[in-house]
Amino acid sequence: MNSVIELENVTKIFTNTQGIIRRKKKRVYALHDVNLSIGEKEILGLIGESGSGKTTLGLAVLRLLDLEGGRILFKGKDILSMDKREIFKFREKTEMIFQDPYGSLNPVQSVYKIISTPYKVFNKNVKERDVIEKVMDTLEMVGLTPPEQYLAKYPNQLSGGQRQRVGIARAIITNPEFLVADEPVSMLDVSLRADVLNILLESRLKLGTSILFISHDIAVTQYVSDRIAVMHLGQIVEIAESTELVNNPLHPYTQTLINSIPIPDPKKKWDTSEPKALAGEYNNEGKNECSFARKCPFVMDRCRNSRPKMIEKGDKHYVACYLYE
Amino acid sequence: MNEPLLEVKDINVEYRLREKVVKAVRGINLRINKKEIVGIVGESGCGKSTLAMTFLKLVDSPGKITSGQIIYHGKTDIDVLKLKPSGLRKYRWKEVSMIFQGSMNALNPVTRIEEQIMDTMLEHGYDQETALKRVDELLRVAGLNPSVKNSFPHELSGGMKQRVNIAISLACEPSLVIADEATTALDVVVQRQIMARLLKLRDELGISLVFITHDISLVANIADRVYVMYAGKVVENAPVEELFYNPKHPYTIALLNSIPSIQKDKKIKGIPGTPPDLSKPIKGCPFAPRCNKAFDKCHEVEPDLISIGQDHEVSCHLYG
Ligand SMILES: Nc1ncnc2c1ncn2[C@@H]1O[C@H](COP(=O)(O)OP(=O)(O)OP(=O)(O)O)[C@@H](O)[C@H]1O
Ligand SMILES: Nc1ncnc2c1ncn2[C@@H]1O[C@H](COP(=O)(O)OP(=O)(O)OP(=O)(O)O)[C@@H](O)[C@H]1O
Ligand code: SF4
Ligand SMILES: [Mg+2]
Ligand SMILES: [Mg+2]
Repeated sequence: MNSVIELENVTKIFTNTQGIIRRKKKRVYALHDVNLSIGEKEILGLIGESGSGKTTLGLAVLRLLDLEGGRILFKGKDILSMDKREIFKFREKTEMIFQDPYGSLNPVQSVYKIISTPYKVFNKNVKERDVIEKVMDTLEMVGLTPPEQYLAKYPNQLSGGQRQRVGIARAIITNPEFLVADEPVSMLDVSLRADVLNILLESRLKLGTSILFISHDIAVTQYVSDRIAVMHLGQIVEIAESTELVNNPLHPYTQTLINSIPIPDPKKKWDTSEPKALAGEYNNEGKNECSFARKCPFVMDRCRNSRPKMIEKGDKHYVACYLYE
Repeated sequence: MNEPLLEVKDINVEYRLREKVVKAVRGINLRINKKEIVGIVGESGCGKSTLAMTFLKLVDSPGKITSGQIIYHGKTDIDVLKLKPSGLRKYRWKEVSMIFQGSMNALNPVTRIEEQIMDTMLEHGYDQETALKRVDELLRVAGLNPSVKNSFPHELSGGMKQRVNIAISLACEPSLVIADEATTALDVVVQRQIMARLLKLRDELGISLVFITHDISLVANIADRVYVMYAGKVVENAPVEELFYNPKHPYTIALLNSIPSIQKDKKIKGIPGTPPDLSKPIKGCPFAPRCNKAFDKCHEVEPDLISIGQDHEVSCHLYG
């Protein structure tokens, strides 16, 4: 499989101010030595802890962040060393659906303006009439019907799910070759969600779009993705074909995650006793340890003193954990 | 215990735009009991957030509450929609707080998290010392490391910002917290942990919670009662087990059937068709054009919400 996106040892460090004394800084390894590739026409799911670096990874592969280490290749070309013309081309071929539909739509632009702008930038000579047509088609695709109702609206006149769909329409109208979809259906009801997911699947089928699909909804991720990667504190800890990952999770963090999926059945409620402290209470500060060592029920000495490498364990199933070495 | 805390009576809300009027909430009755956890579900754009805003009298122009009443049974009974600004100041956040949909974008970008949590408390009568002391605990309840208080919002992930908003909603010890899509950016482990803590608060302090969410699994796991909305109305409401095991309204049934699950390996389908345009008059049942059970009457007369059996209401001609 040819890859569209390739991450080689990518590291992104944020330096956060700590305390009122500004000089005290804390380093957060939002991406810590990440290796990953996304194939042509592949939909790669990315799940993991809140705050583990998923959005950061999505921004990095679209050249929206600089890196502290490693490189990212788009069809073999290092995206951080592109010249102006190459950057324009890259922008034309890539798009992002942002996680927060409230923060990412310009409040003073109408829905028409928001969706048509990227289309016009990359289709210089189209007539306005055709643009309107195209925008209406796209609105219809994401279930904003009748589309004329929405063209003149402003984001604050829309419900959350309607905003989210405007964000999706803006991203798919240019038929990108590579799309980062960061929680694209989190504010849609399950029935609309199915429609939008099927649009993404169709666009892959018809146009060959590759997609990095970021989500906390594991069932949805499994449904759309070919493979799923699991992130924990800035690192990819496991990656496998999606059904395999969900049915046979190997990494202790993935196991915790899969076991915590709520079941839509009120007779099978969660055990609501106070759970063990498992959630995001510390950051990756670049220590030489397994990112899960401080919470892992199976922790061994070596987990605290070095970082496990990704190894293949079963068919195309990779895991970074000393239990398997 | 079935003591009512908030009673919503026949609420109607319109958005009055230049060229048309959107009837976003059309005559909703709803009741939240003390210590109860209520889930509100329904299609995108059906009026859930608009309804929730009325609980706090927060509907802004061009929105207008055209009729209805909201009664809050606190130490005294309060007619919420008649409150003056001074009364509202005592009611909002201290009695009823809300985590707004999209709140991850609502934090002030230039102030640290600690200051934002403290400000909410200082504005509502807490003294500096108490407020300062509460910050760490609030962040912990919301599943964050207290050191997050030193951060600015842009330094946090989407889910971390959501958790800050959960902390803020609890800051003034309200009796009712309304969470509008408040956990969309949380992984299932963190979500479960926070829910466990909220349930504990419910048991210990007797608070009530409303979850407006598209996450049906979350509703199944923590709600006591579920309201299903469609096109500005409640179309079904029942205790959670009854609703999941004995759904009556064709929309509810379709909704429950479209939940993807990791056990199933089939193509997931939506509900064909789209909801009605709320700026046009609605004739008949608003779900009729999409309903596979619709018959003649459905296209002519809008059904009323009627009681069918114990504690279960539905608005559908199949049962009238
Ligand atoms: N601009 C920034 N400045 C400083 N720190 C940042 C910045 N952006 C992200 N971080 C930190 O990097 C880490 C990863 O954040 P990121 O937004 O990538 O997480 P995420 O996996 O998308 O989480 P969520 O699921 O909650 O959206 C977090 O610890 C966050 O606090
Ligand atoms: N300020 C506004 N001006 C005009 N119309 C509005 C405004 N706010 C909301 N609406 C419309 O009112 C209807 C109800 O919106 P509301 O935000 O209550 O929906 P919702 O059920 O919360 O949807 P979602 O699940 O997508 O958040 C929608 O059709 C929306 O477009
Ligand atoms: S009233 Fe008729 S159209 Fe409406 S849900 Fe019931 S059967 Fe379907
Ligand atoms: Mg994110
Ligand atoms: Mg809403």
